[in-house]
Amino acid sequence: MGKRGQVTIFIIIGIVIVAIGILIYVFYPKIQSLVRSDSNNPVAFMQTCLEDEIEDTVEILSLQGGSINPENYYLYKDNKIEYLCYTNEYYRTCVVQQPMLKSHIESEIETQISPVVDACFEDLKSSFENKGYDVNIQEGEIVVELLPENIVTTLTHKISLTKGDTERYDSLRIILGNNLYMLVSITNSIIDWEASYGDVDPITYMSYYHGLKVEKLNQEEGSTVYLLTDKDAKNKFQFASRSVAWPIGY
Amino acid sequence: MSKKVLTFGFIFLLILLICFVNAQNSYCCEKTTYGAYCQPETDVSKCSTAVKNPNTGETYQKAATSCESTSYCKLGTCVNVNEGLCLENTPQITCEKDGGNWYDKDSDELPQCQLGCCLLGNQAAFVTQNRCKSLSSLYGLETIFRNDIVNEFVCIASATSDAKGACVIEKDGERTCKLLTKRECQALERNSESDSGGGFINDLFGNSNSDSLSELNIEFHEGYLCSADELATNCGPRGGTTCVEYEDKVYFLDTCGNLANVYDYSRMNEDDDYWTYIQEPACNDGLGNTESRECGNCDYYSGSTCKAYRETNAPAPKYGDYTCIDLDCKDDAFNAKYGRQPQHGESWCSYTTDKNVREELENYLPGAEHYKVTCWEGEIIPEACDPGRATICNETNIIGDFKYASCISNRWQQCVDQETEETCLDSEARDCIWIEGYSVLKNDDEYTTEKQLENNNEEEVRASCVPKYPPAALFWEESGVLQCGFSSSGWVLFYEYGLFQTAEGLEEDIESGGETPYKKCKKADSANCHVLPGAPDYNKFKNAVTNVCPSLGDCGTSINYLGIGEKGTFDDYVDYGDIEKQ
Repeated sequence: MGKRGQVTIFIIIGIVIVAIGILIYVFYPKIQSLVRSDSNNPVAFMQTCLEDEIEDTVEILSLQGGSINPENYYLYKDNKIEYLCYTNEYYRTCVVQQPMLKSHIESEIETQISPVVDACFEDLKSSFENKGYDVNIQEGEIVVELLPENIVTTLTHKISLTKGDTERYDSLRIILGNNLYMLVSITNSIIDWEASYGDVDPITYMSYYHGLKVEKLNQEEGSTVYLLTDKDAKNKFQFASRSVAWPIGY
Repeated sequence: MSKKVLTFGFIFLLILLICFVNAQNSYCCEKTTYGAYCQPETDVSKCSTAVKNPNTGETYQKAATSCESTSYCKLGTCVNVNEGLCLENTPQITCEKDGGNWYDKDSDELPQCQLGCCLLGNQAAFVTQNRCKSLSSLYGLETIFRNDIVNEFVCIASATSDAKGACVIEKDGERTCKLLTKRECQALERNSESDSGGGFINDLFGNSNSDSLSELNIEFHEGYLCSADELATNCGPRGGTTCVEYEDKVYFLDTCGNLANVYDYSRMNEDDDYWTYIQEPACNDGLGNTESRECGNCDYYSGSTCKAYRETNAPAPKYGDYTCIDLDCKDDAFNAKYGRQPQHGESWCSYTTDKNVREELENYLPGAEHYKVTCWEGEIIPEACDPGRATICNETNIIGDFKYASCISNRWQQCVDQETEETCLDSEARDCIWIEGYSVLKNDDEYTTEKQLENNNEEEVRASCVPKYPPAALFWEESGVLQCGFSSSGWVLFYEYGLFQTAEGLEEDIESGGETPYKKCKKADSANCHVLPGAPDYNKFKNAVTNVCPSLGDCGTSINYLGIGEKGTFDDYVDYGDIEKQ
């Protein structure tokens, strides 16, 4: 084979690699769905189907002080960070705005993933039907729990898969490794201090929880952005507070 | 009608009037248009009325009064029953919208908010009983709540770990081992008898057949390691090293994966009791054994903790993958100032002021902000003090030259009002300095002459009490103009006097309103130039003005924090009046 032939083969191989890359890029979700449909376990199927959505939701909530659509927020680095304790006055301690933070976050996750859960059950049904199963799904609730080191999503949907034998599932549990529970507990404590005394010393928390980083970022107009980082789990949670603010020049 | 009734009626009307005036000034919005709950607003349009309260189905309330006076925004305690948490300073609406129980009481008065000591394994937390139940349940532990312990420090000190030892499990002649507490080992025995521990036991023995649990023999050897020869288990010494959650030291592992004693290379291969009994580590350099290749006795408070050496730049230990990493920091500015690197836990002051700006008040120039910087776990964490130098950084030494910084209140606000040196320098009440030669306080006379203040010698002198730490001023806004107004020395006149003329004579002439033979100065700073209104000592006056004015804040001409601009001179701080002004 001449040199020209070799060059042609290399060019063809190059074009094929690029084309495969483009196809993967364009059709990635469908390819992912195909991979999913190989799973014969509905729990694994739903875990794969929902994991990214839960992860994305948790990330948004973590950056925005626990709310998908913050109402009263401080804009910091293009993130709308919810005030969890707030006063619009100077010299006054703040009024707690979100005392039930954990249940609020759980409820936000439930609301946000609800349409995706429905879509995933649809996918699961068609996927198992394609494999010859008779699929029956009885609608249930979505219950999200923040637990130490995990976020557990329980779907109380009842599933029966029949192909000769019948497999029954009374609920499905999707577990995401995330230590938001600890960060939310610490946030509650910081809010308590902000509302009572107007200030918090980050060192107190970092001394108690090794591997935790608490950054207190004082902003203009008396707002404070708290950024909590669990260095081991690589989880973050940030929120804003405005308490005992000092006006400039008074 | 009696005089008393009339007086009472008048007072009542006055109170009503005051309330009405106040009401005109402020509304309490249950929810604002920007989403905040229970905020006072002078502009009633900022109270939300478009959206309904989902709890009541009615529009959010507003009233022309303070929030403390309303029923809907009164602050109380929010109790989260599931979590066992109590939060004070919470309005009813924010508590109940997510399912909390609100009480119009302080948490001290609520039995469900009483704190006690919750013992969780070898840890303790000072929490409510419900919180204790919640935490115990989450960690799969028995709830042990002691309400007789009413102090957090006593509570934490009471957390004692149960004695550990080797829990030897014998099955079909094969002996294996787990390092457990006596209680855990007994629980394992109970569970194995009731079949619920079968999975765990089978995992230990590496088979899935659970039908022979009744043949198990479990015994506990307190203080022994699983690697002890005399226990004759399948667990031997030298199974690697590891870090343990919530602990800082590097531990040896036995060949079954159980924890052994703290990593000490010198004792690793010895057939002594280091692999037999649980014991405290002997190796210790007193400095946390940072990056030691032979000792894993890390100490968090000395600046070291356990970590995989590959995740850091630390040298590889002689055995295993874990070492005591250095938690101290590297900071060039700190090193340049103190000749060493900052230690873990150390904090110091930092300023936005450019390094090239060098003068006495460099950290208080316009735009300068203060920071408290902390070295923690190898990272430098800055924390800005309140904007506008409302709080300023204060650095002290604790334990030798270990630095500790904090942002403290800058109590400058009352300085200029002080009329005696004694009250001015009262450090309990304010942060001020006393400068003689010029007074920012003026008399209410024709020339707005400088007010005489009393120094510590009980002399009446021209002096000013000014902030020790000059605050910022929004000099481009109205508030800043007011603040900087103090720094204006008002108008001044300069007269030259000759050989037989005196400053006193000039003053007499001016005060009598007659013609004066004195001529206006041509040069403001000539040696025999006299300043009006009265300041006989011109040089003292000049010196005082140039010190007083910058101390009042970001006023007048000044170099800014970046070193841009020019230092203010005397001429920048005074307005030269003309003779007609008299």
